[in-house]
Amino acid sequence: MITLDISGDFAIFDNTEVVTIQNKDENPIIIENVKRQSAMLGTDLGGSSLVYGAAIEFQVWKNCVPVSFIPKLNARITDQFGKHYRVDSIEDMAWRTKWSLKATSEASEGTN
Amino acid sequence: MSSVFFEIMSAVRDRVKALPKANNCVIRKRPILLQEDSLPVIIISPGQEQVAEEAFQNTVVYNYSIEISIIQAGNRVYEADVATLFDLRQSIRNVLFQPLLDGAVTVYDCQLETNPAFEVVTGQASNYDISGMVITYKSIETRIS
Repeated sequence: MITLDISGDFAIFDNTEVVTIQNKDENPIIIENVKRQSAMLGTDLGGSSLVYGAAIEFQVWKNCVPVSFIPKLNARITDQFGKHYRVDSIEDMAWRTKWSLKATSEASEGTN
Repeated sequence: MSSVFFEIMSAVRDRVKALPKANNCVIRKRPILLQEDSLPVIIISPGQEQVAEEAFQNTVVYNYSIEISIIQAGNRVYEADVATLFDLRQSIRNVLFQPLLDGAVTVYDCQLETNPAFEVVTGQASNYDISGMVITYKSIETRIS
């Protein structure tokens, strides 16, 4: 029976990047082959004030991270340009071969 | 001749700017953070203008509400900078919650309402710490007839 191994699917993409992810109170880890999805820069209300930020999504393949690593909510992501984001949600997807990390840019950073 | 409302906002800005760590203080139509702003920033913006009292046909008390918004980077670090924000917030409150206001000679009293020290923030606002208060200044003026 032929099986399909999708755990290395990052190989089909160009423009993958290296990012750093740091869970709270843990050491940062460097992850290769991360695929950045589209981003949206917009505004939102905090109290009665209107502020801005960027919503973004990173695809992280599990076979590119140490086995013991699991991303957590609010983890800090640093992209290849040095911009920082905080993780809002984590989706375990593609038959659990990768994580989709939805994140928001840190205060007054926006996106690239 | 400047309007009383703008005189009050200018006086509020000047008092806040004189505080340590509060020099990035601006007057805006609405409390909006711009991409060009550096943080922290304190935004002074106008609220409501109401007739509070009338007397002797030509004397009137107007209430002018001023919103003070403190916006700083939070970045979901929930244990840091708590005391610092409270220090700044209290300093702002103390310089503004006073009966008289230099530069706005018709003001004779004010009322203070504070918003939560750390507003609930979600979505694209989730990495900001936002705090605010509304000060309503009472101004006695002549009603033109």
